[in-house]
Amino acid sequence: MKKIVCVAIVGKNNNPLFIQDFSSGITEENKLKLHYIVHCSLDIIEDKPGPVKKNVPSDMYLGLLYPTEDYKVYGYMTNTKIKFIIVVLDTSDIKDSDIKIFFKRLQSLFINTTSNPFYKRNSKIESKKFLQEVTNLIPSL
Amino acid sequence: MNELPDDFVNLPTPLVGLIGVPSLHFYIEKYISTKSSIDFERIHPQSPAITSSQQHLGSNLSSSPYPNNSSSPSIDALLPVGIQQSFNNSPLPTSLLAATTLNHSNLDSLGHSPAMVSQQMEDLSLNSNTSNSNNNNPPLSPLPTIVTTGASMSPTSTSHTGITIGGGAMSPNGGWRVNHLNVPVLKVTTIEVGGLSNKKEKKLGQSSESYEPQGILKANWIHKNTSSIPSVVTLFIQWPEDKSPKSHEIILSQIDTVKSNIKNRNIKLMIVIVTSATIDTYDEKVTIMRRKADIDPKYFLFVTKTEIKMFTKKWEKLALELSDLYYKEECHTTKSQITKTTHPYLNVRYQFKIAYYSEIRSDFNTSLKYYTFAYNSLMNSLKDLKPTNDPKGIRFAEFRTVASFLNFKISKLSMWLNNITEALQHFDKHIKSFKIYLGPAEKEFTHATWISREYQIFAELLELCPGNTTKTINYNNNPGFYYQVSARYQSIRRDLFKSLSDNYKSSSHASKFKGDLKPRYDLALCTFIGQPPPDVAHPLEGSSGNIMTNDDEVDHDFYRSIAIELHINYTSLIIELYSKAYEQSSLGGNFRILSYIESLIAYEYYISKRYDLSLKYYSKNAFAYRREKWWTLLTHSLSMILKSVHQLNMPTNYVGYAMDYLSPDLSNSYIERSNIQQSLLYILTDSSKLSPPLSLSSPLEVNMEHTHPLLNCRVQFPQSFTFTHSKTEFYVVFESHFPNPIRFSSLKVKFNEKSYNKQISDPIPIESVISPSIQRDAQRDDLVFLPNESRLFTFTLTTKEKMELECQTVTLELGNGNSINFIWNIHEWAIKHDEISEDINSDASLLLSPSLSNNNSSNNSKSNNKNNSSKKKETSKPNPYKKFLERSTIRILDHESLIQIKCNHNSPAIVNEYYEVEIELINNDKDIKKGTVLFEINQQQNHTTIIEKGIYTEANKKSTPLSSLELPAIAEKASFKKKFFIYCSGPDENKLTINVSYETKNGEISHSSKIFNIPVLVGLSPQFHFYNDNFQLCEMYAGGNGETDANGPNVGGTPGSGASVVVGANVGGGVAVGNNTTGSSNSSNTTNTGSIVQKEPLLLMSEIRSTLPYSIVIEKVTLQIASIAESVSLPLSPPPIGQSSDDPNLSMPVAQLLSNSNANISSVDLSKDTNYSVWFNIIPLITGESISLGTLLIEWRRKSGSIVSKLPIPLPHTRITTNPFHTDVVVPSHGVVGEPLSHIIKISNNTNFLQEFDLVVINPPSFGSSDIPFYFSGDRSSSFSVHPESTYEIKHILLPLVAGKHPLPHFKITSKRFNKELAKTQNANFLFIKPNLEWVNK
Repeated sequence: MKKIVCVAIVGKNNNPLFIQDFSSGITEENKLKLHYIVHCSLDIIEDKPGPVKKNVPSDMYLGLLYPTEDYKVYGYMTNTKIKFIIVVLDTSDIKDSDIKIFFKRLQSLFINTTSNPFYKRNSKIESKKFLQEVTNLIPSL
Repeated sequence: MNELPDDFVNLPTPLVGLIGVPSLHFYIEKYISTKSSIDFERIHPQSPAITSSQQHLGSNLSSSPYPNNSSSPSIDALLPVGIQQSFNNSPLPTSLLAATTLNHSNLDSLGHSPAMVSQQMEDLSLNSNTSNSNNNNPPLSPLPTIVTTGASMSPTSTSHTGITIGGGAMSPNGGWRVNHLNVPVLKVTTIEVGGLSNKKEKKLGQSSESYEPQGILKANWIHKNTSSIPSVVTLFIQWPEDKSPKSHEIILSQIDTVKSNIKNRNIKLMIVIVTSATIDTYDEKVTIMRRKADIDPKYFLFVTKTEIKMFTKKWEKLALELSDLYYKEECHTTKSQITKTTHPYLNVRYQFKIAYYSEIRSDFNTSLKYYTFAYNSLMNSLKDLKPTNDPKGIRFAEFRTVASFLNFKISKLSMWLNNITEALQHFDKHIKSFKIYLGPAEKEFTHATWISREYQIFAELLELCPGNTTKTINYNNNPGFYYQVSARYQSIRRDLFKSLSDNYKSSSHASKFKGDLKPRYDLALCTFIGQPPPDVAHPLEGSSGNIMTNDDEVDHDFYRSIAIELHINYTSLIIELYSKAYEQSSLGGNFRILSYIESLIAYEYYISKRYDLSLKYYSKNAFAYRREKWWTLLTHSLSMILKSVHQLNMPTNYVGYAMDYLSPDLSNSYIERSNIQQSLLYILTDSSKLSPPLSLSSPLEVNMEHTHPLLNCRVQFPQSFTFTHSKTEFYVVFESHFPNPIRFSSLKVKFNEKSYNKQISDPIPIESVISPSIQRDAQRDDLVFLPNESRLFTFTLTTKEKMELECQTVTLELGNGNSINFIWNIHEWAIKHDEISEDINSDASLLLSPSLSNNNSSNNSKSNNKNNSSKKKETSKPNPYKKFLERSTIRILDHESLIQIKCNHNSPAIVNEYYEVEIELINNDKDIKKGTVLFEINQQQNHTTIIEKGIYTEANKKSTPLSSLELPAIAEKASFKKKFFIYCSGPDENKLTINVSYETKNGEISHSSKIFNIPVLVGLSPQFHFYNDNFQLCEMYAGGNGETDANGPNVGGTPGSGASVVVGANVGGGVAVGNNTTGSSNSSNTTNTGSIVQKEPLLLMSEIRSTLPYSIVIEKVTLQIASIAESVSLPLSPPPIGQSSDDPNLSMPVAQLLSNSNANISSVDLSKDTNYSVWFNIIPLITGESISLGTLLIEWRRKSGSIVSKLPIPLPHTRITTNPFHTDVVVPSHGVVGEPLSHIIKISNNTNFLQEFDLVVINPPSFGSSDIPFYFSGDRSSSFSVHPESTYEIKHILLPLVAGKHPLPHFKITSKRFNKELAKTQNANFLFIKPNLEWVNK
């Protein structure tokens, strides 16, 4: 069973750039709920004080944003205010360091994809390659 | 928290029993000191509740004194302990029970006196929480603003009927809040002597190992320990007055009874001797009593009734000591029991007891520790619980209930000890442990209820916890989340129950509870917490402690719970919880979380068919998501809005939201989109296919945004300007993102000028199947749009008048009749036409070069235009997929005229000339098919003189006047010429306007217009000199030399230099005229001056000077003598005296022309600044103040031309006077010596008076007196008179004596009347006398 149910990338203006759910057999309703969760987690990110201000790269990791009944939400924010959010199953127990590494990898994937000259900044990522790469990255956690 | 028993929630306090002297108890209780704490406080809905509860108590002893408790039972609800005693299983005698209960109620009423309750109300309102009692919050309000649970959260006062189950939040009976409380350090209760129940003796035979408890926690234990089993008993002994030994014995036996009563419970004893007066404490009796009591003397007290307050302080201190000791000992005892026992239930029970005792002692850390132990023990036993052992789920229900109790205590204590994190962790663990339901499937809904309640209780705890200050920052601490989850479990509960409800709805078992939805059994009937009570129908069986009830009984309870469940209004429950979640979340301003909760609320309303509210929340929601650009969530909200709107039968909104929903940005699937598109069509065509039917009642106009994501429209005029009567195109591009091909019915384009409006219709009904063979982007006539297709519609407009044409709206109609009309109000956002850099509308330039360049450029642009408009090439059309310059206006201009208008003429024109002008039209345009030239000359604006003007084809007035001219066909680059003549009778600035309209062979009509300025001058300036017959310049013009300048406007009589002095004065008015009429005496004066005199010869010299730039030839100059009428027609004075105005001979000439010096000279060239002179000899015949004698008529021609024009120059106005006496001297021109000559003087009297004259002949001085050259005959001196209008003749004969020039004698004739000499005779005249040759010859 995969631990990660959803990976989301949210732009500077809090608009979604990429949201993908990864749990198998997810219902439409739950899919929607994941969207809600990701969206709500932005509130938490905005409220999170501290690490955002420091310019240390490792502090881009925001940690556990909040637990829901079924999931845990982790966040990561780059200096350019791109937010990476993952939703993992509540039952899974993951080390912070592992999540950090995951986020780092995710960020480098994101950078590679958005460096594409045809990518319009702050627009939805529709690259299939990116999706595939993220999918490949999921089991690493 | 309403589900929890009050006893459990309240902070426990030590209980002290009071025995004896009941009159004292009240005071003791009154004076007990208090301690302050922050803790839960029960809020009662209203003060009458207490009285009613008391009444209730009175009528039914077994019911709870706590009004809230009655509302919370359910089959697995947390059963309040309440008063556990009942008729059948109370271990206490009824009498004691009654006392206890009453006492309790006293306590209750003491703690909640009406005043206090009202105080609480005020606190509530101060806390900006709505009062719980009069909460009239509408049920739909999402945010009941209340912190506490309970009554204020009740959605309606009417809906709670039948919803008492599980409805802690629905309870109308109040709730909890946290407040600063002053609680008594002790709780006292009155006990009868020996009234304490005996502790059940453990049967020694039963070892702890073999003991099998039926439940975990005894239901009555808490209440027992807080209300009926004191830790300390104080025996009040009224010191007997009679001092008889008997009374002492009674006291002693009383002490004995009490001691034995409390012994096995290890209850501590205090004895208080109540005396009315001081007694000797070392009295023998007292000593005996002490010995009997066998207690520490410290606890043996004396009191008099007067000092009771002081006593109470002392007493309570001691009582607390003892009580603490008691609970400590109880802890120890229980701990030792733990070591002995092996049964897990008992472990839990004992640990719970220790924890509770510790709590009573206010040792919260220990308490927390043991509660946690108890919880852990419970969890351990839960692991052993197998569903197979518990087919009805009763044990599991008990477990979770106990766990709930423990969790509450653990959470609360953790929070109160400022360790919220621990509470959160524990709760997390708690929920996880019980997440998996163990039990029969049909009861699973009860588990959802339970979880919901757990979340709710925890949320309430978090909300009420005084130390939870970070709930706005840390969302984990925010109660909102827990409320939200609680609400979710309520809906899970509903879902779980829904599957059951169908099975049981009609069940007879369930329906028999319909009328009795209150729990059947009494609360106090429970034996163990979390277990269903034994059947009261068989009280004896129940008392046996056998909880294994038969199947029927269980079903009974189950059906009851189902009956209750059937009547629950889940929605209000859920909404209420969501509302609380919303309220709590809003504290931190988490608008996204709020949006999420909104969507949950909206969904809840939706499934409860409150579509209006659902719509409201989803709309709000959609707004937030649209702003955030979260399309997925927006899509969901929109789809729900669509459903709601559909249910609400709001077709207009439906269409609007559908448009939104179909927007390609959204993440909805193709099927969803096409369904909506289909629904739109159904609204228009067949509403019955929608359920519920939805149709438009009238055509709906949808105002579209400029670039609507679903359907957008752009318009373009290819050029920013065009010309009248030409053709231009107009493009409309639509871009459709409808998921399926869609056929519109008509396309309308409206302009600001109606006649340009265009319309395209598609006759095929919109619902008809669209053929899949339609090719994308092909040229089609229909109004079908394939998905994501852009279509360009071209309209050809034939321009008419000059105007600025603007496209105002474009309408795309879907359907006929009640159609949906998508309207783009183009003019609201359109870019106006481009500013034209060169104003091509201006008049054609006179200068050649710019006009040429103009022509070039406009030819270029024109050819471009032609390419665009006339040649209908596909390539010239804009690509509909590309963004093209949107231009909704076009300026229709007149067609640019490309002909050049020229006029060849030799300026200036001369008055009265037929001025020759040649018009030349040079055609730079295409071949001109036909055309018209209109001539127009400005008419004079000066009203004083009438100038005759005209344009003629020939050089005479008889020819046809020219006003318009039809143009023949003029080939390209050819020119057209035409001569015409302009006549003008006066000097003026003629403006000749030539308007040319023509039509080229292409049918383009153009206009051109040009104005030419032609000055009209006299051109020749004449000067007139008048001389009398003596060649004396007439002196009539004082200061002038007698000349007049007839040039220019001076002729017209306006003052000028020279002649104008006189002329002007005469014209000027009647003053001069009056002078003349007043008397003839004045006129005699003029006889002396050299004015022009009537009937005397006058010489007129005219000098004509040319100021023209060109040479002319003067053919002939004549003087035309004016008639009297003509001279009078000029502004003249009335005819002078002697000339009556009604003279019939008005046509008589005013003068007689004697000769013209140039009569025989012809054809004199006159170039600029040269003069031409002519003399005339005239005799004026009339007199007048200002008379123009005639007109000088100059016949001339241009040197180059042959047309002779006549230029009349009127003579200046002159004064022609008459002398009163006309004197005529007739003398021969010469004489001959010796031959007599006659000298005749004729005097005519022109006056009406008799004139007398004196005549004196004086010899010239040179004659001397004798030496005269003449012999002389006639009167030397005489007087005579002349009658009016008659002539007198004086005749002298002179005989010359000497040859030579001789002055004649001076004939001095003096008028007597005027006393003046006649002018004619004044001057000395000379006479040449010839010698008499005859004499010489002789």
